[in-house]
Amino acid sequence: MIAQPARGTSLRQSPGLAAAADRARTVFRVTLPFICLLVVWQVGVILSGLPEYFFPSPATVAGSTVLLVERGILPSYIADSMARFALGVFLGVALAVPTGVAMTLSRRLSEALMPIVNFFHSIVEMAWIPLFVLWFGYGFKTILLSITYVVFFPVLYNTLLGVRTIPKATINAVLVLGAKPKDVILEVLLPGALPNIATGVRLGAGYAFRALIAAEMIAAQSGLGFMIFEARQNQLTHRTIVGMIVMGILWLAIERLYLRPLERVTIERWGMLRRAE
Amino acid sequence: MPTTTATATKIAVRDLVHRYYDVQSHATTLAIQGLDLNVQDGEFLSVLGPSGCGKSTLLYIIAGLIKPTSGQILVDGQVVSKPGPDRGMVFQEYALLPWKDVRENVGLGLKLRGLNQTQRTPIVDRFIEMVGLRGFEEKYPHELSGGMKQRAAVARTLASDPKVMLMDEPFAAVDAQTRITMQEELVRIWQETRKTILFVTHSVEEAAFLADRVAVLKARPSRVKEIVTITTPRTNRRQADKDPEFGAVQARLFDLVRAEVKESGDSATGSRH
Amino acid sequence: MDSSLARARTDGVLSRFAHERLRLWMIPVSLALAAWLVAPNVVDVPAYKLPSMAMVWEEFARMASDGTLLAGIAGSLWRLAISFCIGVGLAIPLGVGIALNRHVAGFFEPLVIFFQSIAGVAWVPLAIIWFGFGQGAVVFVVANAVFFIVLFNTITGVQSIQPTLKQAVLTLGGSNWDVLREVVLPGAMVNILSGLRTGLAFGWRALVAAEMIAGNIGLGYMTLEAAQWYKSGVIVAGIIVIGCLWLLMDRLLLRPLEMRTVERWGLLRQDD
Repeated sequence: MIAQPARGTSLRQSPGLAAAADRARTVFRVTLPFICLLVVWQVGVILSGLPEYFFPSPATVAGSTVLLVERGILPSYIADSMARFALGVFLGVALAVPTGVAMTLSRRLSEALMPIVNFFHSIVEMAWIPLFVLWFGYGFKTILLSITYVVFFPVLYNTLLGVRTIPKATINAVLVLGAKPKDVILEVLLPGALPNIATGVRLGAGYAFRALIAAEMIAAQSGLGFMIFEARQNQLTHRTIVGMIVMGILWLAIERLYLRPLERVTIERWGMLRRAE
Repeated sequence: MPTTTATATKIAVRDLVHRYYDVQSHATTLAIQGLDLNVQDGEFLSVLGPSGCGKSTLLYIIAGLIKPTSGQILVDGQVVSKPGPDRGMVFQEYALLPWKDVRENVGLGLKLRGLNQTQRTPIVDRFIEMVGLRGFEEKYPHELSGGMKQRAAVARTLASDPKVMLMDEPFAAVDAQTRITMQEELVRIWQETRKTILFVTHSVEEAAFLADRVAVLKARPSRVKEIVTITTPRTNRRQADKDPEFGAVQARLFDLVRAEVKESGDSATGSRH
Repeated sequence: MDSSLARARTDGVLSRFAHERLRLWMIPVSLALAAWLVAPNVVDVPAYKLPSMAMVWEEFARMASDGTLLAGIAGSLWRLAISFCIGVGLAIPLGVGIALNRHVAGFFEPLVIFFQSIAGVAWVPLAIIWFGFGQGAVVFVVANAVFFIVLFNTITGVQSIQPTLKQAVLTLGGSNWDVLREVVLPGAMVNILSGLRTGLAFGWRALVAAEMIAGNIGLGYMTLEAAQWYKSGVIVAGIIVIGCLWLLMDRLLLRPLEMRTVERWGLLRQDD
């Protein structure tokens, strides 16, 4: 883009300085609301006079954070939660993408599976937890399965959508070049559907993160979900709040640093227009 | 400066200055400096200038949508500073409400003035007829072509019976063939309604075909560089080569604009970091 | 071509289409049911892990006749409805208010994004502390989930409106109130509806989760409680009921609503 012509009458700053000032402004713009929130929170605690276990102050929460980090509880719980989350999302994607591709290849398979997929999709993963508990007990497998379950559907639907929107001519062009079915899948279908798959992963991961927290409250002995629930039982409310804040930061980091860039890269790289889910 | 009696002046722009802060270049830009302009009652005046010279800004200031740094806008001798139904505006992007069909869009100004359905219908129908949209009353904007959208937008502005129509490059987004038709129809509508029209464009041909007078703006900071009066009847204006007088006027306009484009282009290259 | 012949043809095509659809549904569903019917005889799993169809039906009939099922459904839907109304009722006015002013919106945006990312289930422990086990905690958690999602979508919706639409209404003599009524609310509607849909989806999940963890009531609690007593028939009946309820809400409520505005106004959804 060509810059708007700026005449000699404009008051310009040096570009480096301007960029630095821009960054500082952004940081300020993002942190100011949270500083205000902390102030309001602290003032609210003082004015309301509610007991600490009911309404802990920011200061207590900060102290609790330091303690949890020093004792290594928080890092190890974060690691546990993230491991479950990553494995669950991975499994969900690993199951959904091949299923999706297979369904687009075979009309018969797609006809047979679609009604069942639609039905299971409308059962929220939370409803399965009691049954999973009966099957696998309280623990890792139950949590993993509920995450995998909730990731599976958005990824599957988006894979189907992605493959379906690939122009028939593209597939024919590759077939004419002597491609085998394997080549069509690897060279055309998967790359073509990738932007949609990335969208599916972002959506699925959003549901999965909440499923992780819920499942950890019910069926875990470690992890952030377990921490915030167990802290409540011991009236360590400040720990609950530490956990919630960490969850918020973690999810924002996962979404902004991994999922959105992944989606953007696939869309840009394959030069595709974004399609609605 | 045109010398006219104060009574015939519909819009007067007095010593207008507009300065704004541009977020992208981190600079305060002086867009308009000391602009004076008088628009006569019932006149069709085109404002012509290179892209980015501030001609749309001028229109938005007259409409009351942008507050100028200093200076005054007078309509019928009264200072105006807020948008009002006396100054109707036709936008380049049509600005039709997507959730209203043609009839509802055209009747919007009347509805805002408090007219009920039965009071609105005859007026709305008359202007839909005038712009040639009979039969499309129930269509939503997304079902219309660019030219038809702009027809609906013109009808909407006319229906609220403004004293002045401000038109911001209204035909810039339609195809060349439609543009010619639309220009001719606009002239017909103008002759029928005798509205004062202030028409902003960057196209010399368009300005020369439509206007009684063309105000050529200087590149940023803009003010009126020259006002060219066109007396050639509009029926003769399509063939510039057959009417030597009109051909000369058009050539003059080309020269004026070319000089400004060149200058703004030079300054853009000169100011690049 | 003879018109009656043409009609007869399309009729044939239509009925064949309906027949096709039925066949498409019948075969997989009956196969799945058959598999479930046969499974207990083939694989060796205890009945408490994989209840037979008869067991589930028995539990279903028992709960339906003694009223526990109806009470559970009514209770859960009632809590969902209240929470949804509270969440939406607060989120839309607040969202519009915030988004109208660019500076106010800029201030609240980071907060809304942060709270949206932990909305819902993560509030369960705090909800129990503040409201005790039961109705209050569940409603708080679900309303919270709905609130932040709808709030975020409302703000995005209002911000996505082209400024010229507002300007058009102003130049037609409209007041700020007219701009709100004619432009802002309808202009943000597609995003708000999409927010309602996402909000209801997350709210429904939060409801089931909150009833399990913070409740002593509703379908969620009913199924998790059954797990304590190894009553897998109740669990599976609960799963099916929960699935069918969502299916009904989605198909009867959400899709028609969204389709209507999106198609008629020719608006594409903003990406959220």
